[in-house]
Amino acid sequence: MPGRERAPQPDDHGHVVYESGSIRPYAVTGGRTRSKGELIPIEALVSVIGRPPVQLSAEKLRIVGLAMAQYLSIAELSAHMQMPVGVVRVLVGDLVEEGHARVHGAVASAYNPATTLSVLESVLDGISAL
Amino acid sequence: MAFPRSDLAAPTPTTGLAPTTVKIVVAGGFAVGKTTLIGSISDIEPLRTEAALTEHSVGVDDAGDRTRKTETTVAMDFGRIALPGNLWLYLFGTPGQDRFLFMWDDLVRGAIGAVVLVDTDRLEQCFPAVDYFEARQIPFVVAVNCFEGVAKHQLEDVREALAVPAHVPMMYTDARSRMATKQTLVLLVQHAMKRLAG
Repeated sequence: MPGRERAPQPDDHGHVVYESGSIRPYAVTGGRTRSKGELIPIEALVSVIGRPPVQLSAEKLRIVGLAMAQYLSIAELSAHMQMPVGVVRVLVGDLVEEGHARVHGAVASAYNPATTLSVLESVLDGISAL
Repeated sequence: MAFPRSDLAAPTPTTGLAPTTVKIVVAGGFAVGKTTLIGSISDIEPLRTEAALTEHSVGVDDAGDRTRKTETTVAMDFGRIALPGNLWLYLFGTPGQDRFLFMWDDLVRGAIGAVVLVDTDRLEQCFPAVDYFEARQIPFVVAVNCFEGVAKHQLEDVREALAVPAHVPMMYTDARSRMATKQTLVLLVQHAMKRLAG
């Protein structure tokens, strides 16, 4: 078997995110690729607050429709809407800002596991019991 | 193949307490079986989403051509498992090619750890994943996928070829098997707990 040369990459590997080809989907976000606050984790769950006004954009109304009946993560919204994760993040960020949605569990820190030992124990017990 | 569990996979009305979400990343070379592994244990059929790069044009588009696509497709598949205690575990497959490594940062932020799925016939395909998790000190296990249930290499030979230290757990797995996938995830979570406990 051909071996791997042990040459770890540098830690400060850049967050170059968007290529020019990905600009067009961001038309629905007014060209913004980041929302104002913290970057919402891809697994964060979204829920809807109250009954949002109908004058929301079509894309935001879709998010509201999907997340109205059940908790859905950013990733699931992205898959169901067939829109990139980055776009969904910005739209959800807007909905939160406007008071129409809430994001749950959005407190991941850098590369450290955001999970505590007690959560890991619950995960271990849960998987073991599957 | 998913194993729907109607009691857990049913929509959760948002009136209750929001589930706590955790995630595990499944990495490895192209077509090594990441999506198969995710599907073997997920409550939902694996879903496909796009990360930062995209091929679709959507919604209000001045160009008016709503169906146009570019050639860049960066898809990732994921699944979800509901666990007791109002916990949802997401399994995210990494986009296959190394040139999308920069997107992994987003995926691994806050993850429990990673499973590096290995095909010993194309061992070099998992080198970028091993490099990546090693450099960032993210807990990972190496799972050698046994196609047709046949292990072609000794685990210690694979360990040597990958140059992974002895503390990194390694095991044989079968991405199609719910039981094997479960054991793989258990191994990873145990490893992550050891790391966290110091």
